[in-house]
Amino acid sequence: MSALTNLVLFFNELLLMLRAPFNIALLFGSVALGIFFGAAPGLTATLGVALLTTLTYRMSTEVAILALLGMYVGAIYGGSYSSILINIPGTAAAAATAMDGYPLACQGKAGKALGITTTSSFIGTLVGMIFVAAFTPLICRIALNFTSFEFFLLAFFGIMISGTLGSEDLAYKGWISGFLGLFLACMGRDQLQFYPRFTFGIPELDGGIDVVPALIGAFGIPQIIEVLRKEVVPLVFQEVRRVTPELRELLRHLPTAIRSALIGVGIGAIPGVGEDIAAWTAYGVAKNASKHPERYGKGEIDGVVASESANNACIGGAIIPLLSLGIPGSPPAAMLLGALLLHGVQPGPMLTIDHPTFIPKVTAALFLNAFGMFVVGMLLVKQVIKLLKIPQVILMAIVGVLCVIGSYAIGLRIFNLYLMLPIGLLAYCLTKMKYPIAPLVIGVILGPMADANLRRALMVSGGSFLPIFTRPVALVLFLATVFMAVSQVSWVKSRLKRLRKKVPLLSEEERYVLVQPSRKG
Amino acid sequence: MEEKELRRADFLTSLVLVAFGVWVLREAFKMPLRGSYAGVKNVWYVSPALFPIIVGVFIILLGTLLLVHAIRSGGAAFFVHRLRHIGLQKVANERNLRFLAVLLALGTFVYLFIPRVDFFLAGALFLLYTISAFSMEDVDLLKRFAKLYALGSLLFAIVAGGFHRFLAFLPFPNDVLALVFLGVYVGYGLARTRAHGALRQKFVQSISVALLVPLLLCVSFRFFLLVPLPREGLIMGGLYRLYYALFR
Repeated sequence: MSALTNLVLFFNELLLMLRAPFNIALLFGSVALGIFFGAAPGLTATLGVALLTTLTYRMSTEVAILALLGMYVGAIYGGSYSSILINIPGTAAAAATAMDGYPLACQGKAGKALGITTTSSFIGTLVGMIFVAAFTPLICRIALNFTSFEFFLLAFFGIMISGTLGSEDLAYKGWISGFLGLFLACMGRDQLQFYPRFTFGIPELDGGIDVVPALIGAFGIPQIIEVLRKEVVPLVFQEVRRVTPELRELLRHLPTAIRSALIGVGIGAIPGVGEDIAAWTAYGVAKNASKHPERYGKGEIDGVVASESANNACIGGAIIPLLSLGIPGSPPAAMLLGALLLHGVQPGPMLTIDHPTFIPKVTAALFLNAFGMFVVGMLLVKQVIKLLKIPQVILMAIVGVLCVIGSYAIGLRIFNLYLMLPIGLLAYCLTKMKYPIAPLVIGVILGPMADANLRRALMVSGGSFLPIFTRPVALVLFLATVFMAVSQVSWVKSRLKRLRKKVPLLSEEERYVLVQPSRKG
Repeated sequence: MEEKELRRADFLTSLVLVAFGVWVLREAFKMPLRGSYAGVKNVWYVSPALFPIIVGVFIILLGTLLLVHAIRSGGAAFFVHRLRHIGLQKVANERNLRFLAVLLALGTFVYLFIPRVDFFLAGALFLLYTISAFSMEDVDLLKRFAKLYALGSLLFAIVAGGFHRFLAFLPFPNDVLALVFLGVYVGYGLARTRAHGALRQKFVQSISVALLVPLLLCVSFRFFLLVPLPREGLIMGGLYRLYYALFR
């Protein structure tokens, strides 16, 4: 398809989406709900997308995508509210925003800071959208040449890299998490011979573990336990008078916004690496590039612009591998993948053939959500702040009921609930011991793909692993995976450290803050 | 988690992981590797056991790496030290108590009430207990509410599981039991918070959220999204009658 055809399709989808008043109401509603989920400490973007998936079950695919992306975009942006107003990041993605956002609020410039974050997030989302439109069809076309070996290695690489980069402690804790996810994916009858694996004679397990209840459990239950285990801390809000778009101010910081958005897209495209890493990297780069790095952490607008444009651009970045390869770029994107599967859309190289208008649909939905976020962000700040004053205990108790009804409603099986809770408890224990959850979830999602493709590939090659070394893409993926594993060996690690630049991107304090929040998005 | 605590946990987890990996391998080797299954001649590379074997091997390998790291960084020594000096006081701290109270709420909700009781009542019980117990910021009250809820759940399980024949004359015996439990909990909570204005206000707030949220969910899921609820009984029956009387 030519660029012009894509552009026509994009506008066509845009008009189709805007034609129905219900869609417009849904757009603003889901964005507002997303902002609330992002802003409320304890609720996350992933959880928001997970819970909304249930409600979009009966909607058409494009309407569901509009709502789910609205929640995603809104939640990543919404995290900045609590970062700026109470110095508690609503999502891990907004932790970098607190560094300069809160000092700005303390100087009586909360409105200005929120205006800047709204406009930066808007720019970030648009940049991400452009990359989705430009690169997804391209990668899909390249991936059409992939064989089963490449798909197996891609799934394996996705789990390994998300484990390596997502781990706060030892890299192999991330890999363990991924392999536990792969084990969960093994449960049920296998795809090729229909042999029951790890079903313990329970007929309900024959179909395997449903992805959505597993995701709701993995992201929802730990959040509920975490909040309820702590004592209630009263939140003190900084005052907000008026929020303005701050366009003139942003024009001065436009290079930072664009550069950070590009960083966000790049990091978002790496499987399993979330918006928090994107925001911190962009923040570090902005600080390094600044003429006044000493102003960072004291209310520097550039810092807020960098982190907010990066984390929202990361959404587009995370969607690119999701749509083109079927590998989610971030935890909320993993949830989005579950939702797409539920709606009968199988992301991957065949997407452009099976659903030729799907990428323009997603692009149009992102575009509309960027505008929706901008409008809601400008107009409804005070209302969202009022909602934030609802006690966390009440919110979490309600989330508990929503997790249950959400997990049940997907397949109308009470058995899903019986699985959701243990998976949630496992995820909670793993989180406490600093195992990242994203690889576990990606393992559950990519497990069937890895399993079936490995066996299919070996069937074609007659049991030979040689094609891994004769096919260039397979070889690159294999070497990258091996390098990732070897780079964790202590003496290789120390050699690599010596080769690295001596000037760190982030200060010790920022590094400390980076590893503190959970990377659940 | 502190570094020392983390390494101790790593030591324990690594042992569990290695054992788990061995179990995965054992189960995988029971699957057809060669020979024929369902009339299809098998070879090792199409066997359903292949992927679980890979997963099992990697879990053992990574578990061993973690074990080595935990031993080198003193996790094993700290684990042995903690095992020797473990005290009931250290275990029975407030955070652990809160954790158990959350587990009680989630466990009873999912495994006891959802499969047996009308969704409205199951949701109301869960919300009432969770909000009232955790929002009061009073450990003593949390303990009391948790004890009452545990006792009520236990009695419910006994009666609903073993003595349901005695309640067979009732239209929805489990729902009636849950309703009685809800009433007792409300009565107990009101009596406990009688002397404290702020606590009483919070408890009343808990009751209103516990009744409103399930009502909204039941109505929106059943009548708008047309999704059947896990269990529909006494309350949903009443809502049906109301719905048909008003709109049909």
